[in-house]
Amino acid sequence: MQAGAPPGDLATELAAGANFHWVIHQAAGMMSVQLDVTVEQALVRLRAHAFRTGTPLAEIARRVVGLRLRFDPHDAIDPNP
Amino acid sequence: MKSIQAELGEAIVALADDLVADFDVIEILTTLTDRCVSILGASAAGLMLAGPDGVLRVIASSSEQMRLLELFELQNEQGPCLESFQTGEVVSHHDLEGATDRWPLFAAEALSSGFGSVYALPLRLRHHVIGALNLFQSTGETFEADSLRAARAFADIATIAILQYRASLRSTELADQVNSAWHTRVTIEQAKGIIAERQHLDMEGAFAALRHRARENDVNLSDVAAAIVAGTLQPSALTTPETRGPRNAD
Repeated sequence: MQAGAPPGDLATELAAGANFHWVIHQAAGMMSVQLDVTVEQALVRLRAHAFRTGTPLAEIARRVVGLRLRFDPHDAIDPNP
Repeated sequence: MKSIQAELGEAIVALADDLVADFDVIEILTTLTDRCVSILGASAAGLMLAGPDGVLRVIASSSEQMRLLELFELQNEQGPCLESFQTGEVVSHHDLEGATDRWPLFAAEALSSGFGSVYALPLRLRHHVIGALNLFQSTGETFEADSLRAARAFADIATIAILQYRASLRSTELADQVNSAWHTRVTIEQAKGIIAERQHLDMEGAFAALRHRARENDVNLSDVAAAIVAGTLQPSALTTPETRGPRNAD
């Protein structure tokens, strides 16, 4: 899917359109620090987590910004399982 | 104590000066919403802009509170901003208790946030409507008639700022020009997340640190944000007006 896309296209897609909410990009910024990756890579992780858990992207983002969900390089940590 | 007219006059002179300089569109739009609160007496203000897909979203707000941002965001489906955007007319309601048929979800959410009245003005350029300026007033408070007339000036300045932003001038297409404002907002939000996580701040504190740095160093807000995202500027180098310098490392 994204394998053949030039870097930045996914970020552009996620940067606008249906996925534009402030909180999504705030969460990606936070996750880039937690995971020590670029913000674009964090957006990919965020979207993957939303897809895997069947949760809307904005909802995952709100949990991250609300400090209810953190990511580490191995897996997502929910402090309130 | 200055009259509204005097404060408004000073604010518009300052904004006009910004518009002929190398301004940052998100800084100007945020200042506009701040002035709607401090000068026009709104309880909260937000600027809505159509995204690349034509859906209305909040591009600047007088407050970072998630509750307020969500109140703006739900207006992409119903509410005064959507109507103003679609009709190109001013849309207002002075007692939201009576608006529950017209805007069931919006009225309920606005009332439970403590807002009793709402005012939305279109952002118009000739026959194009690109967004809306949204003012909220707390229950029990009213807007002055002078304030509502003055809001027209702020809406017009917002429209000019969006379309005259330097990054938008590469294209003559309206859609491309609007997108430049969105790209800047995205970078700023990403930078806020990085700063918040690194410096243990909330989003309001992170945004304040960004704006402070931009003003202190006389650089554009978007350039500071881009440097944070690129890693060429460290969050620990930022201060807010309350701090005296970077905190010691933990």
